[in-house]
Amino acid sequence: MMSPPVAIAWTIWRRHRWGLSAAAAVTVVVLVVAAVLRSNMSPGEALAKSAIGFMPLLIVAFYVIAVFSYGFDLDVAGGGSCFPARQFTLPLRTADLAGWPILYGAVAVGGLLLAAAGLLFRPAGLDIPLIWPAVLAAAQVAWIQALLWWPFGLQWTRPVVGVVLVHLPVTGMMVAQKLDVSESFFLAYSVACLGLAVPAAFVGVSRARGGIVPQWDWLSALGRATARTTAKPFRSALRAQMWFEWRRFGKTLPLLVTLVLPLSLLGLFLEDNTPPILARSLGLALGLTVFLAGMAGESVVKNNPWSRELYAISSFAATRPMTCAELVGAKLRAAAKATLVSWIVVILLIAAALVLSGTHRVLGEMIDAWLAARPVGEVIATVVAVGAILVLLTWKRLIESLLIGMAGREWVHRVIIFIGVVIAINFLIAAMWLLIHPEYHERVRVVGPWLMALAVALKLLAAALAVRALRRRRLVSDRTLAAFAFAWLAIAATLFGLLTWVIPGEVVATTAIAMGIVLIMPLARLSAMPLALAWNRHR
Amino acid sequence: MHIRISANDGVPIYLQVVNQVKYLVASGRLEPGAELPPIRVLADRLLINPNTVARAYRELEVAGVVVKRGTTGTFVSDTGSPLARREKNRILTERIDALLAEARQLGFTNDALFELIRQRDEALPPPQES
Amino acid sequence: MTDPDDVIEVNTLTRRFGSKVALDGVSLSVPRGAVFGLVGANGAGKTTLIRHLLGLLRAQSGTVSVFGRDPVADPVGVLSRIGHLAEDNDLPGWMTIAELMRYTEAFFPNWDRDFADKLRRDFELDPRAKVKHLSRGQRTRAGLVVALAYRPELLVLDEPSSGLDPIVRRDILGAVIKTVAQEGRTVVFSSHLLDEVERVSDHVALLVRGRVAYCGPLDDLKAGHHRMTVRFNEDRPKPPVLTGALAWEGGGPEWTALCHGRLPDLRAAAEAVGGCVVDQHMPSLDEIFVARAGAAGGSPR
Repeated sequence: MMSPPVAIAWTIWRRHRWGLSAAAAVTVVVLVVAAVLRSNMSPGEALAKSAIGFMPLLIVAFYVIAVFSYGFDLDVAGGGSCFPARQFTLPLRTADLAGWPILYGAVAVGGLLLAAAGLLFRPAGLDIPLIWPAVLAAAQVAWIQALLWWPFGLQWTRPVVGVVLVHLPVTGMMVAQKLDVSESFFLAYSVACLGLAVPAAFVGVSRARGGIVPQWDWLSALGRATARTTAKPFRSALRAQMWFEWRRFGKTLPLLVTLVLPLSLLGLFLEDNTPPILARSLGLALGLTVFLAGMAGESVVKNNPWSRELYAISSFAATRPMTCAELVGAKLRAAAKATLVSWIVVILLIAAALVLSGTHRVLGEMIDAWLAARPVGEVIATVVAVGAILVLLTWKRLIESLLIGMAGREWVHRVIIFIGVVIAINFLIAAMWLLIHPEYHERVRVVGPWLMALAVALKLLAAALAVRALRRRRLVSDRTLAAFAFAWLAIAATLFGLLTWVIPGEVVATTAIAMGIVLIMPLARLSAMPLALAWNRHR
Repeated sequence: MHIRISANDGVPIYLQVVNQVKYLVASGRLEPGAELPPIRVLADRLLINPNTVARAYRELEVAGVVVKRGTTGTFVSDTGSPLARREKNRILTERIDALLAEARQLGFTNDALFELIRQRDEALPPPQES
Repeated sequence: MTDPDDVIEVNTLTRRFGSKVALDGVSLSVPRGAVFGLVGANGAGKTTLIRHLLGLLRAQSGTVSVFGRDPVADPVGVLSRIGHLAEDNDLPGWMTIAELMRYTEAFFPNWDRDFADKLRRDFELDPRAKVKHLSRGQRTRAGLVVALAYRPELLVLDEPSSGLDPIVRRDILGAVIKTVAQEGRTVVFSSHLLDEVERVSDHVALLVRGRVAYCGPLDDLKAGHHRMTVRFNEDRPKPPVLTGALAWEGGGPEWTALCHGRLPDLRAAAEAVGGCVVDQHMPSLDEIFVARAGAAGGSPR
């Protein structure tokens, strides 16, 4: 018989052993590489590079938080607690069930921050205090856990409340920094946050266990009274399927963006906003959206819990009288709608943040400076090109994460994630290594285009194979293929035109731009989608 | 019209329907000229295949118990008597066989059995003249 | 051998899952307008066979043809004419009944809205209720509504009654009967509740460990089997060997067998081994199935 802490640790480890191992590996690699590189660098450079090194550690921290708050099972918009209900029937006290994950999460994330401060930043010269950031991180994790585990009972209360509450510890800390308080205040503040969060988490779990969930009856009665009982019928099967896919996964990305983006825009409110800092904050916000798209498609892979295989397509979805190509088309359209909605949300949030923080004036100055330096047409073309590329990348990442789920086999899911992590780590190492060996930069410049050409060739080959398989199995009609090819070429040509106009030839060669566009635009995986779905649907 | 079907009776379902309809007609609970439920309705009520009901109705028609009037429906035939008597005989014979077997098993002589029957008949109130 | 009036035609279908053989050379055909009962123990291959009919499984060897088409190659042509109720009934939990009906309507041009509303009211389903809040029986009823509302030519039900109370089972059987009462529509349903199969089917296929033990009209199946009680003059410790006898039970001087064959031949065979037939009647489907499933397993009773 295991003791409660060991049992809970074992459960979490069993479920996430691959991910946690990968996270640990990434952490170790980053710290080691940073230590190795530091010896060759000047202090100022080392500081900047350690900030770069902190990025993967931040990602690892988010992952660890998700693991220990049981965030992978979460139904973001749902009202019930995200604490796994099957644990409630175990012969463990609520204090055990809630307490140990909180402790493990605190130790893991706090330890991570401690390692970052002690092994990454301090040797690079930044004199960061060791104790209270770790405590604050632990408090933030507990805060997130409390938010996720509290049974709100009404859909969408969690995101709404969450957006306001989730980043309070960190925000408070940033505010306090401006007010020039002593070190001990920070420690006291962190402990206070922890002291608020842990009991809240305990109470939330015990309420969820006891089924004490606010029913919000009056609201549902109101909803029933005002609901339209007769909605117009769908105009076509494709529209119905698109509605279905939108309801299934469409809201995840806009929701994630709404929750996460305000955090990244906090910088606008709290720092001295010179143009570079503003540009960095905005860039982070925009890049974050693209990053989140890669996660959003993933989180909806889990199908109906009643079906035997968790990842397989449900027989309800598989017996729609539609071809695989049409089913894929509906998913793509729903993804496009999700992308557009998300970007509208992003633009609104950024605009609101800019106006509320008063930094829109700084932005205005930057734009004026730019317009003074370059012709108007070029400025507009740049904005359009960048916007188009961002939207395209978001859509691409969203549908590519859907692809894994479409294949419907768990081993495919695991293998692709594993490969992705391996590639990411290698890329990180290579990038960091290159940063400290400037003598290799020239060689990279020469080899780079050839590598890109190789990547382009591989991508085109994969796409060609996929299209050949599609035609052989008659999954897609030739007309559809031709229409798709035409649209793809049109978009690629437009982007090419815009980018070659905007980017001067000496900076980046025209061929490089062309190859870059081919690599950015979705092609191979997109063509493989009907194949993956057919592989899943007809086993 | 009350009919009970038992799926694992050993007797085919259509035959159960036939027998029970014959019984109802013979005992007067289905009067001559009364309409039998349409095939679909009876199938739905009894939860059996409509083809089975159709077959039962056909057998009843062949035996002369019911008559099918075009698309109007199926009705109990007016000429009931010879069939009714035959059917009534059959029903009572079954009961008497069972009674005799039971009586023998319990050790009653025939005389004792008839005496018991006479006693019960006296105790039974006379049937109401309708 | 191909009857153009067969809605479903399966030829020597074999299916393996790893090392386990789920279907072994299964051949059967379902005529139009039939109520076809697929009978077998749990794990005999009923669900696997039905998934092949819907195109959810590819035929590893052998052919499957529904309405004359391959369900894998032509999912639209086949699935648009089939109404399907799955065994685990995986309707999306987040949908309300009204949304489910509105969504399904878009796929089937034959959808009859008044009929759908009538079914929904008969089954007492609240259109604003979400599927995940319904009980199991109500989910089955919801699945029935969307499977029946467009009057499909072929209704496929996979273990529709498993785990349901008698009231819902009546609804399901009633739906089956109403379907077949209309011309040309076929029903295929798999069940291990044999008294239900006996009531409504006119054709039956018996699956034992992935093989077809019998396929044909139910009446022929029952007429070809007899439950015969044979009495001997002395006690017999073991039942006699009789060609056609599938399962014996009893003891002492009287043994009862479930036999397959013609009655005169069986009587003669019984008398040949010194017994006298004292009782004989038609067995129920349950008894036939148990006897055949046991016989195919090879272990004598």
